[in-house]
Amino acid sequence: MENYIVVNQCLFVKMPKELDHHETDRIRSDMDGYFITHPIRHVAFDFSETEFIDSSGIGLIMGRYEKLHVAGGKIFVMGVIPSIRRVLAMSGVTRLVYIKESERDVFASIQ
Amino acid sequence: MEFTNEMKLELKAISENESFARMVIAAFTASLNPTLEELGDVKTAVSEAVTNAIIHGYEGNRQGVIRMHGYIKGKILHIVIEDDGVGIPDIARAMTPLYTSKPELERSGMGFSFMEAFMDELTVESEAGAGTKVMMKKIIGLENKYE
Repeated sequence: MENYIVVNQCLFVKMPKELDHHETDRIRSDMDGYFITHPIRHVAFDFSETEFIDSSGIGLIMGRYEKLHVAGGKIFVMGVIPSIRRVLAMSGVTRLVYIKESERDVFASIQ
Repeated sequence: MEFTNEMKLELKAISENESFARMVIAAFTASLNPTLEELGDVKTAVSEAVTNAIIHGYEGNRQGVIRMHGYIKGKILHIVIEDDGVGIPDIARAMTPLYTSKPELERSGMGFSFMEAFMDELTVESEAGAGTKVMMKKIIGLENKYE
C-alpha cells in the first residue's frame, strides 16, 4: 500500500491505525525524506483508517505546521472519526489545521 | 474495600510496548463494562504515561523497565505507572500545558494535560534521579457514577 504521495506540491500521508509515539517517529523521518526530494508546500494527513491518537500524534501535526506555515503552507486533516476529532479539538490543534472530508476537498482548497 | 481485580506488568522501555500497554489496560478495564469513550480515555492516558517513561524517564535507553499496576475497587479503576529513570526535577513545570523539555523531538507538551483530562484523578511523584510514579484513577460506568 502506498502511504505517501505528492500531488500539486501537497504531500498526502496515510496515517496508521494507532498514531502513537512509536508510529510518529517513523512517519516523521519518512516525511523528512520527502521534504528533501520534493518541493512540498502543503501536507494532508489521511485519518480514515485511524482509531487512536495521543499527544505524540498532536506533536507531529504541530511540528509539521511550524515547518510549513511560515512559507504559507497548509495542513489538512481528512477522514477523522468523532473520537479522534475530540482529541484534536482538546489539544487546540483544530485551530491550526483545515479539516476536510476527502482528497477532492483538499484539492479544491490548494488550486 | 478489597480489590475486585488486580494486575501487574513489567515492560521494557521500547516504543513497540506503547501499543501493548494500551491493549493490556483495555482488556483489564473490560470487566467494568466501559463505554467506548471511557476505554479510549484510559488507553490514551496509559499511552501518555508509558511514552513519558520511554522518552523522558529513560531517555531512549532500551534497557529500562516500566511497571504498570492496575487494580479495581468497585467502579474505580486505578492505574500506577512507574519507572526508575532520571526523574522530574520540577513536576509543576513538567505538568504545564504545552511545556516540553524536548522541543527538538516535536513533542506537543500535552502528555500530562491529556492524563488529567481523560482520567478523574492524577498524582505524580518524582524527583531528580529517583524515577517517576504516575497514579491515576477513573470511575468507569459514567451513567451510574452517582448511584
